[in-house]
Amino acid sequence: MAYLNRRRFLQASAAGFLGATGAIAGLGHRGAFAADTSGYKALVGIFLKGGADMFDALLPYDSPSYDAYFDLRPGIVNGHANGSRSRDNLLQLNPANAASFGGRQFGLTPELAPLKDMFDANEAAIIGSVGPLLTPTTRTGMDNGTDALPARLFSHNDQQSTWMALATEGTPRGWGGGFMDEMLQSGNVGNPDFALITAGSGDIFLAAERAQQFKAPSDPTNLGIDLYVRTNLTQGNHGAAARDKMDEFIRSMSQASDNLFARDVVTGQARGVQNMSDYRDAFGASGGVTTDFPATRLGDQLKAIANAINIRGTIGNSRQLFYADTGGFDTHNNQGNSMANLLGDVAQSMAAFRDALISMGVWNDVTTFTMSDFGRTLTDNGDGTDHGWGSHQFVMGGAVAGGQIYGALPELDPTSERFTRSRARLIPSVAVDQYAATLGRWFGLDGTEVRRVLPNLNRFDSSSMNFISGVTV
Amino acid sequence: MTLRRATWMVTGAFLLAACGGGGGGGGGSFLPGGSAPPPAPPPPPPAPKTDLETETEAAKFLQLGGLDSDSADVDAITGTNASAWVSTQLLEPPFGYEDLMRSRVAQDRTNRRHSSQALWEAMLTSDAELRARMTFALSQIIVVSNAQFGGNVNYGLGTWLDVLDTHAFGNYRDLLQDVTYSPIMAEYLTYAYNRKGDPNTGRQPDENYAREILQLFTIGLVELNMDGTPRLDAQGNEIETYDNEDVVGLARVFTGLAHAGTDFRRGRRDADAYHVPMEMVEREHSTLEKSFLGSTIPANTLGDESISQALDIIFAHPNVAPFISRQLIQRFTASHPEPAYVERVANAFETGRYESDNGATYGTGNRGDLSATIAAILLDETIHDDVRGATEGKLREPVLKYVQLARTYGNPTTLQVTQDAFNSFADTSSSLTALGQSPLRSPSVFNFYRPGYIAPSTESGDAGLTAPELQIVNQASALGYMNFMTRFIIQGDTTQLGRPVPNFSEELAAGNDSDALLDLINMKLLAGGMSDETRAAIKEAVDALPVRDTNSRDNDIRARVRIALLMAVASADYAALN
Repeated sequence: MAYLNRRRFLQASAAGFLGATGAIAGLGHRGAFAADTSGYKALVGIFLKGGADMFDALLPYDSPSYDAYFDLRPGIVNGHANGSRSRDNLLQLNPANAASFGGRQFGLTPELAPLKDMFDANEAAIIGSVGPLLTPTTRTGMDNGTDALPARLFSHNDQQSTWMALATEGTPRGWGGGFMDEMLQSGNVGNPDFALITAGSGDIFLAAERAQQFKAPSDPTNLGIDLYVRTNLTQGNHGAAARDKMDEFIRSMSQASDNLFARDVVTGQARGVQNMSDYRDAFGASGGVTTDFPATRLGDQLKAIANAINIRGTIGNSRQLFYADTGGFDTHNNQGNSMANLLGDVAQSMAAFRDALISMGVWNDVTTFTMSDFGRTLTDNGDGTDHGWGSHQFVMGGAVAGGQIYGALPELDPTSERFTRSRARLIPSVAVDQYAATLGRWFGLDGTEVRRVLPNLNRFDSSSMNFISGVTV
Repeated sequence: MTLRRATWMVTGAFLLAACGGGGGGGGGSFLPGGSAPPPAPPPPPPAPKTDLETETEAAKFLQLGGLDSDSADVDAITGTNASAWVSTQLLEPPFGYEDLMRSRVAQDRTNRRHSSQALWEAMLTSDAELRARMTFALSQIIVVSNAQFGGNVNYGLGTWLDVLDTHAFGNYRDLLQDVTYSPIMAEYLTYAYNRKGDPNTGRQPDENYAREILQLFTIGLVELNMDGTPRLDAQGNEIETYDNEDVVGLARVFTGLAHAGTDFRRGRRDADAYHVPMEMVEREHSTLEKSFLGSTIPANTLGDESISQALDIIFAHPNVAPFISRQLIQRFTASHPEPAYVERVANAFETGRYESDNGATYGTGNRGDLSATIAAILLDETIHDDVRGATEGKLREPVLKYVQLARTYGNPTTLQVTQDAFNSFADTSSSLTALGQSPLRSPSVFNFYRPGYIAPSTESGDAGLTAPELQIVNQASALGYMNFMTRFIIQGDTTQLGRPVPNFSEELAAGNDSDALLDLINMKLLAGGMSDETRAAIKEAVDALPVRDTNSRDNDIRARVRIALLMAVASADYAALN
């Protein structure tokens, strides 16, 4: 509470952050709190919008498997410039658990070199075949109708929502937000105004009951309605009183209106103006981290998150969840011209973020992971791929038991149980719930709390999801 | 308690008294032993609810269906029926987006941003306000984004806007036809040069357009009742409208289309390729059977015929009317329309006809008629009653807020923003520094916000209300919005190319009198919807800056006007139009 001034402290204490609905009652709680809130920990989710084709990121490397891959999608392999998908140019992985894949080997594409370096240094791991599931699912189970399927598979917006919130569009809470709700329940993780921070879109992942997501710019120095108002609208000292009254009006969460929509807008407006002004003050002279980030949408967002982590002591949070997103992965055509750039941006931005975390001494305290709408069809459409289902994801951080491939990397056989009949869409082997549960346990939630957020977790065997040291689900 | 609610209560009390007084005799006739009174003369028919009896009704109606409520228009329609304005507006011709771009920017200098500016300019200047609104609405339902195009698109995005604009009051089936053959859509959803499957290589047709035309442009993901609510099966579950096999089947239809004159060789595309429809190249069109939505187009059906049949099959789906009607309502009058309202509008779409409560009729009688549909939206009785509930009304879109402000106060000679020079209207999508919404520049085919968006942790969300526009409200957007609006409000009188400049002469003349100033703002900007509380707060702030009788007098007045306007656009009363 180093930074918060008295007024803000009182406001937070009076549950002003809950909005007008008394949302806390909805949680219906409950006895002692087991969440571990010690030290500092943050989770950072990176969403690859559009459905990233991880078949075009993590390729088979042993010759028979690579040849089979080439035969399945010549349009993609040949569409890339400079032979970047030729076997010679792949970066062969030597996972610690290589033996579990028989003779099969894997390679990352050249633009993923920064992630390959982290994988080699045991700082990053790959989780294979993750995706939304309601129950362990096979092709036969789909054919027989015995394996219940998530709703609205292959639809972008609904699968984004399902990845982030375990239900289709319109659901009110993300699992990231749910983790923070559980943390805030303990009462001692700090300021809810800055517990959930998006640097990109205001997506459902961070939607919570006990806190609102803040939107952090990479550099808040020049942001603020008060700056504009004070410099441009009014008449110096003569206008001071009017200016204050206007400011008070804009920051008032209780502007009168009979209309729910109108109240929501002005409540959000007031909260945003107030929080941005507080955040700018907290950012203050810190100037932000000095690490160079790629000048891309994702690079800028990860820089914003690094800058937020940099002032964690001033903000006073011991647990934070962050979100960033970048688009362009809906590669129905021209995949060869875009995918390497997209993946390269992800790898370089993540590597810069790693450097920043190390420089701040929080590398072991921050775990970063990727998500995406879905994977893509194994068979191509000429020069692109279409909507799929399961896919592979990357996890990085000092706490990650890196250098390994978790989950499953099935043989790329479209006739096998692991692919749908149409267009060979990968059926996930690991549920999003399992992936999330590992992250939640590391974050400090106990088994009960994790299961409150991920109620379907017990339908799956999570024993293999130990991709973070010392964490069992 | 808002001013309007107070007014309604007064009116309601008056009506109650009138009924009580008039009803006593009639009630008595049913009492035992009462003698039959002489037959009462038939009551005069009630005035149509769509009559615009007052200036505030007229102003609100103009803001719902148009782009602003300037006093000349308010004067012109006060005392008329709303149908008169709708009928007049339906006669307004298309704007001519491609022509505007050609007239302003040389072909070798034009680029994608000029299409955003052209749509801005139509909204900022056109008298065809309803058509401009409809085109903007359609651009948010059948979405392409100019962010995906390079400079070689020439005036093609203007041609695209002309497709939407030309059919804005036409038939949705015709619109789908031109959309499907549009080179812009073909590039955006990647079916330009989409090849039939090849069993030797395993190549399959691109599924992109097949999926999105179903999910976003016509029927949506789940079966709907006519009132827009999901149909449920016997177990109470939603029923999905199609599955992957349907998409695979339909994807075969959208193979073989190429830019005109290229014979399926991309490199042959010339400068005009984006200004004319795509052409079918049969040798690249799938000859397989095409099965989807329970119908089958036989093997070996030719390409154009396959597309025509496919669009007929899709368009015949019963979801189209409620699915499109609800979204159009959301773009005009209600963020969360009542199911009964959706059903009335969907019936107009379905029958191609709408009759207003004053007897005015609209539409050709053909299913999918958009003039009947928009008339049903704007002439619905619930839009014209005096009661505005807590869940009624439409969240104003940031772009439409700015358009209204600039049309209301802008110097008309400064509203032509389509220029071959940098200006701030090419991209207004930053939530930190601009509006979080930018015409024709959506981040994806899913628009800036989703029609089914329910905002987490809000009152409307807790009530289960869809609130699309709240999807672009975040903790940064408040700053972006107010700063962007302020930039207009504080703009000096120096005309700058491509940036609207205000003319506050009426407000400045009234600026010494805060009540007079607030009356003006309330009428022009808020259609009389300023609450007592908002008015009191603004008045208090304005009067805290008294006008000095010195050299500072003009600047003091100017500051008072600016404060009043910024507070008005930041007020709850302006956030939603209801």
